[in-house]
Amino acid sequence: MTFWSDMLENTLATVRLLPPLVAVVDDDAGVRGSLDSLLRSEGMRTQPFASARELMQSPLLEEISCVVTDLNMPETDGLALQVWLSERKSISPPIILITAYPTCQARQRALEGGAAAFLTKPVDPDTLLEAIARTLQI
Amino acid sequence: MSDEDNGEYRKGHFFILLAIGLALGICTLDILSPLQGAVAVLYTSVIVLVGLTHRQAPIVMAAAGCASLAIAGYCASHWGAPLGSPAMRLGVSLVALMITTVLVLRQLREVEERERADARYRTIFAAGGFPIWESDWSGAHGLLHKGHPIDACTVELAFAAAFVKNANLAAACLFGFERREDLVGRSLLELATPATSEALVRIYEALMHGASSVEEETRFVSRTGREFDILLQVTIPPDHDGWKRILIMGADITERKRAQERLAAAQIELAHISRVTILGELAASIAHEVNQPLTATITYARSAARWLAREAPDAHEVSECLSAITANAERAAQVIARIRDLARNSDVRHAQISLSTLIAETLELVQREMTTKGVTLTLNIESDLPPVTGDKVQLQQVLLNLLINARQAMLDTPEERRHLTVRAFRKAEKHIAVEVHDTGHGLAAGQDNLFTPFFTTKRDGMGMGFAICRTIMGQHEGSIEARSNAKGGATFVFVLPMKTDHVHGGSEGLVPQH
Ligand SMILES: Nc1ncnc2c1ncn2[C@@H]1O[C@H](COP(=O)(O)OP(=O)(O)OP(=O)(O)O)[C@@H](O)[C@H]1O
Ligand SMILES: [Mg+2]
Repeated sequence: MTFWSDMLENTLATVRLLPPLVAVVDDDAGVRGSLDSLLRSEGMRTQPFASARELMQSPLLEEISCVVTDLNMPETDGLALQVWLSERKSISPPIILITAYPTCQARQRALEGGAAAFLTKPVDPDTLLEAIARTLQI
Repeated sequence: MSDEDNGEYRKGHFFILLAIGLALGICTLDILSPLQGAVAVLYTSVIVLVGLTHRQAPIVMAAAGCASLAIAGYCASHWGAPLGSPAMRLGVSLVALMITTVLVLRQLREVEERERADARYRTIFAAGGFPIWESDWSGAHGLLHKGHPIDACTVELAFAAAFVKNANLAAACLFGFERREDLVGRSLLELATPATSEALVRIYEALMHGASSVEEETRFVSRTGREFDILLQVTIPPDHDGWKRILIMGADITERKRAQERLAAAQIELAHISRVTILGELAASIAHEVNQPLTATITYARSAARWLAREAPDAHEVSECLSAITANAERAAQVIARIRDLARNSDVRHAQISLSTLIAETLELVQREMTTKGVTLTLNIESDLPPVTGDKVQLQQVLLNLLINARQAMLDTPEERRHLTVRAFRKAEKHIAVEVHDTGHGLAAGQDNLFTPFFTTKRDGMGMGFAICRTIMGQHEGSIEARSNAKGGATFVFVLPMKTDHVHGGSEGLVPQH
């Protein structure tokens, strides 16, 4: 009985088209949490990750529609994550890079690598949400 | 010739006259008496009598005289008689005479020797350039051996009862007197400072525990009002007779103390400059540490506004945002407070410190500096490490120095091999070691002068980092050392004693505050 009702529920959810899943990657718990809250306030579905590696190993990877990531992170940084995503076989989700230390070099590398946006911390909510909305429409 | 010597001289004459009388008496007895005994043996008493003059010539002359008299006595009574028991008795008498003479002469030499030594010591005592005095502490001896506790009150009584019995000129000058006689007979209580009684407590304690010699540093004020630091050496001679004779030597160490104080002040100043320099180097890293929570705070605030602006405002989400705002703002404030502590030129304050917290907080400051240089950080802290005692800022400075040096050493290492490991662990029961291990260029062979001031191999290095670390560890009864790793790179370890629960039993306030 419950099996069938769960099944029905799942199917309905898919049919109803859940809001797209946005990944938030930042090694700083405070920043990560605040971005997560901001996106959810706009009705988005989010999944926070404390490192690029966590995202790479996530079972949700295929479901992600957009990645918002910090640039400066230990081990794998935002640019490396971008490269990794674009080198996979499946289509890469659009990526938005955020940094507190914007350098021309990093900006250039990000945009050449196909980043949807390159933003500076603290991010202006409207700019970020707009950028995400743009990526999701395509 | 002094009166004393004159008296001695007259006494000598008297003894000699007496001895001559005695010798003549014995001679008469020897010749006239019908006794068959060895009367001549009695001449030995003449030698002993002359010995009292303490002069060699009369003794030798007396010996010769007595021998002649004994022989003359024999000749007078037994001349021409065949050799027999009288001759034998003469022989015995002569031998006795000789032995007595030798003994008296030897004793004379010993006395002279002792007198010379005494005179020599008196000269050293009086003319020596360093202050020496002899005190009578029998009052203190009485009080303390009656079982009075060694407290401030007893010490004051004991001190008041003590007085100087003898002193040399240097001692008198030290205490501001012009002549020895001005110091002799006085109690030093009137020249004492609070530090003096503290030192006395320790001296009395040591003496009561059986020490025969104690060294203590203390401070007196001279009669002219000059305060001076002095190193006292208090010795109880074997024949002290209830502390009636205590020998005290003092060395004026005022200049040395002042120099030490100046040195300590300079070291503190230098450490401060070095800390500020480090902070400058870490500016980017620190900015990041403050920036992160500020970014979070701003974003949470905007997010809260949006949750409120929704058609159905979500009170739960808003409250989550608000608590996150508080937490992040507090975090930023903490980072700033920590930096301010490091930048401040504050007095050294020893407190109980958790090394694991200290390491975590310090790493926070250099974290970004490390990540931007591609250094991976591994932290390995033994659980339940007991606390240490120390100055937080100074210990943090030591760790910062090691971390920055390690980072600088790894600049030529390929990025993927830049590893920094910080470990903290118990060592040898009572110590905690903190180890900073890097994969940099390592120590050049024979680099054992790392810790000397101004040793540096860097173009823009000052070479004070380690010198300061070592001074700080010295002030914490700790140690610091360096070694090369087998697989390249260097490891720096500093070791601190664990905090013991032992508190200086009740004598707090008397123990000098370092
Ligand atoms: N981790 C390390 N690996 C290899 N050598 C080191 C390391 N740390 C220090 N050294 C050597 O020890 C020297 C002295 O270090 P110290 O910290 O006292 O001065 P400095 O770093 O040269 O200058 P500064 O005063 O700016 O700290 C350095 O110049 C370097 O040669
Ligand atoms: Mg250094």
